[in-house]
Amino acid sequence: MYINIEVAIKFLYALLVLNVGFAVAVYAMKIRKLGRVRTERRFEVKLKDYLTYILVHIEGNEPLNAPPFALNKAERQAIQERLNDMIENFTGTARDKCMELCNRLGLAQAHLDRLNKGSYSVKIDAAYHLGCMRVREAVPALLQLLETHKLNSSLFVIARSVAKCARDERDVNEMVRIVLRHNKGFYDLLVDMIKEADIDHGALFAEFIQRDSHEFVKIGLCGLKDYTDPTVASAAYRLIDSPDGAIQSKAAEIYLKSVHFIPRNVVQKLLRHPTDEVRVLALQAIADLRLATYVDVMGNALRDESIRVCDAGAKGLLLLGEGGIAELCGVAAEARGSRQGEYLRMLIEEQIQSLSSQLHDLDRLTRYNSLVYHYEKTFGKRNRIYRVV
Amino acid sequence: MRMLEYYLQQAANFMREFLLGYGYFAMYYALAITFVYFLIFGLSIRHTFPLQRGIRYNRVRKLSGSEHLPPVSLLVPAYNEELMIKENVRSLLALNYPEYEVIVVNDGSKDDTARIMIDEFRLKEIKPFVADRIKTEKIRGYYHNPEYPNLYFIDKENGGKADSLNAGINLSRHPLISTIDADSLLEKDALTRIARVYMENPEETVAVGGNVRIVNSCTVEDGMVKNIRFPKQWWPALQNVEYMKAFLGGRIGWSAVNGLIIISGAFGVFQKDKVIAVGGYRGGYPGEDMNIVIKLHRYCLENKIPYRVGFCPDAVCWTQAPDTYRILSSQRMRWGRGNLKNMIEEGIHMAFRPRYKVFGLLTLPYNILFETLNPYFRLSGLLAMIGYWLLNMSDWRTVAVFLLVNFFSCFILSLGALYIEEKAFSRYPKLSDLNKMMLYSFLMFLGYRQVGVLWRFLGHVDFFRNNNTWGTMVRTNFNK
Repeated sequence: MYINIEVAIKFLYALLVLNVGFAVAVYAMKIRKLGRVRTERRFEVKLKDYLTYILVHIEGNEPLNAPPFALNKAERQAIQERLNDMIENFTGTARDKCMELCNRLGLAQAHLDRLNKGSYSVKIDAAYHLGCMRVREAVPALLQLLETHKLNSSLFVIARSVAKCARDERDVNEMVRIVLRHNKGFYDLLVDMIKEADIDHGALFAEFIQRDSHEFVKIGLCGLKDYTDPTVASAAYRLIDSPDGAIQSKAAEIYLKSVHFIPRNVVQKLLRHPTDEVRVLALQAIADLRLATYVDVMGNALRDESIRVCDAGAKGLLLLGEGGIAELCGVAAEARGSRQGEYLRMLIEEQIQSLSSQLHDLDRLTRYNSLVYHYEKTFGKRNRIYRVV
Repeated sequence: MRMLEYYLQQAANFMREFLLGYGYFAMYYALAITFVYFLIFGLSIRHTFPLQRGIRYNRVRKLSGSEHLPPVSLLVPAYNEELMIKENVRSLLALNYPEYEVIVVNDGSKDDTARIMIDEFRLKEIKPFVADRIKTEKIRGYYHNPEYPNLYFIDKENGGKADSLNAGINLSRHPLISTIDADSLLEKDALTRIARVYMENPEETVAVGGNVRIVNSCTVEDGMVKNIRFPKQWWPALQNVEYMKAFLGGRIGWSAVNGLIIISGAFGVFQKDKVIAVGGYRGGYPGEDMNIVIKLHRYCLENKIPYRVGFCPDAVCWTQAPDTYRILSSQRMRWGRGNLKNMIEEGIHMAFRPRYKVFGLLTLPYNILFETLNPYFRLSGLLAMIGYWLLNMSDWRTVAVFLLVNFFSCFILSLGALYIEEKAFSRYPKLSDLNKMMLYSFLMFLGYRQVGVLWRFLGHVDFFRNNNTWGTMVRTNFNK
């Protein structure tokens, strides 16, 4: 067999060199890391009094002084990390004073220089730190970096920094516009970033949902998920007719959270919605708002083909007083033998059993009495009907 | 007599020719496998830097409090897990994650798993809405306790791990599902870390795998790994360096080219609607974790759906590694069987077909040629070596050079995995741990890898004999 052993030996030498190189690199990294940990521990002791000073004076009127000793590179990094954590964890004056201290220590300027002059990894590192320190002057350079960046994790690091440093809504808008060029449906992540900006988020999201762009509308709806502001209700209501199914569901959810009363035509429209999730949300909202005038609508929902809607209707009716309970038992008796009917009967019996062990609560006691009375009446039970007083 | 000598000579000549041909084949095979290993290894190293930035510059602690993290249903299949189920569930209930549910599925355990769950968490039977999108074995009951609003328990007839996962999917409410082994512990922020990767591309990310590390010899308190130490015992120590090489040296690279073929059953996150679209987990055979990923690739590629299967090495799940020969061999034979079944069932229909892109042109050919068929090449190589020696076709110097080339080209991959570990994670704090990792990376070549080939081969034998049992599995407490 022809084997060029010389070639194999050369390859072996090359492999040997690579192996040794990697082994040295691994050990060098480990030793450097251990050294850094030791330095940080030493610095922790040195820094202890200074950190106590910061924590004591963080709420006062006087600006925080720089440490009374010179800092080497590792120590500057360590103090930067501490200040980053403080800025993230504090708000108001305390945060402002930490940011001001960063300026005084020259950290903000140093990272601004690194952002403009450094290599790619240095720029990303600088972007992160400038974001942590909320350096407003960094926004133009950050936006420029964001503009040319491809889609990967670092794109979101820069975008988050822009949000943190944003001077006003326009900076955030610009950041969103640039990031949306790579749109992969990361609306929740964008909203999470926008919420780091020192602006009126609610107003910005409300403005987004009024735009024509579906992408902005989706961001706005994600952002308004937990808002219960009645002013967004009308904009959200308009979106219930959107051709996009995801927008419809989210808009219905926000609308139902934002209103204190739901007109009958809206109730009927929502209960005709093809998505059972929306119908369930509508029924839950009626129950939460205790809109007893819609007992008849809730009764109709019990015959819905989706068992989830039927369940939401039944649980809602239980909360709508005597009328609701009577309606529930009436529909359950009428639908006897069908899937829905059997389900409703099982649910009523479970409720009776569950409520019977919670009679110390007046509301539950009343509900229990009412439910037992109507159940036995409509299902024709011959047992003696008795109420707990 | 001369006739016999003549025939012997003829046979020897034929053997020489055959061994010579085999030698060429083996050389090209070794070159090809080394090339693919180096390619993936290079991609892993290259991808480590952006990965490290992603880990360093995303404040996971803050993100874990965000209401914008996607809700996740954690599915925990349990079979004879009475020793660890309490600790595992308690640790899952204490994760730093805003919205999730834990669905424990008792797969007809023969021990007290069900009773322990019901007693420990004071569960009561409920009748929830359960989708019947995937058929499963008969469900005995669904259990819940409002005091633990995130916890659900399913008691069902025995049907295997895949069947349990399918039962969990039917009950789950959230759009993402996460599979977690009952003998594993999730780090508190693991779900947030994996969710971050998902959130960066939720439209296309159909699955994200987590990193599995070995918990043997670590100290576990209240379901959390407190003191991370390199395993003291031989078998777990060897598996530790093996896992590191596979997860850090391999999966990072494969995920970079969207060619990941497996997401460990111990910890992974999937888009529920995609899992349902491919018919859920395939039951009746081991290797369901590889099977589901292959089916997802196939489904998305055939339907031209843009997708990616990601890997998140900083989302860590700690698992107990087998610490005896018997259990380890049983596990590896099972993996070998599962791999073969998947390649026969799915792989050969997709391999070498441009329609399946990187997955069909690189991942599957690699897997079939260099993983599934590997035992046959290795064993035939050993026989060929004996042949070369008997027929005086080689000298010790040539053998030594090729053995050393083989050793160093494999050892560099272990060193690469250690480099990634130190560069991006550095989970083992002591220098002595690194020394041990180096030592065991070397020791792997002195028997462990060879016996691994044998286990895989025996797994194939089991497959052809239709032996479909799960094999030996003994559970112990985390802190032995």
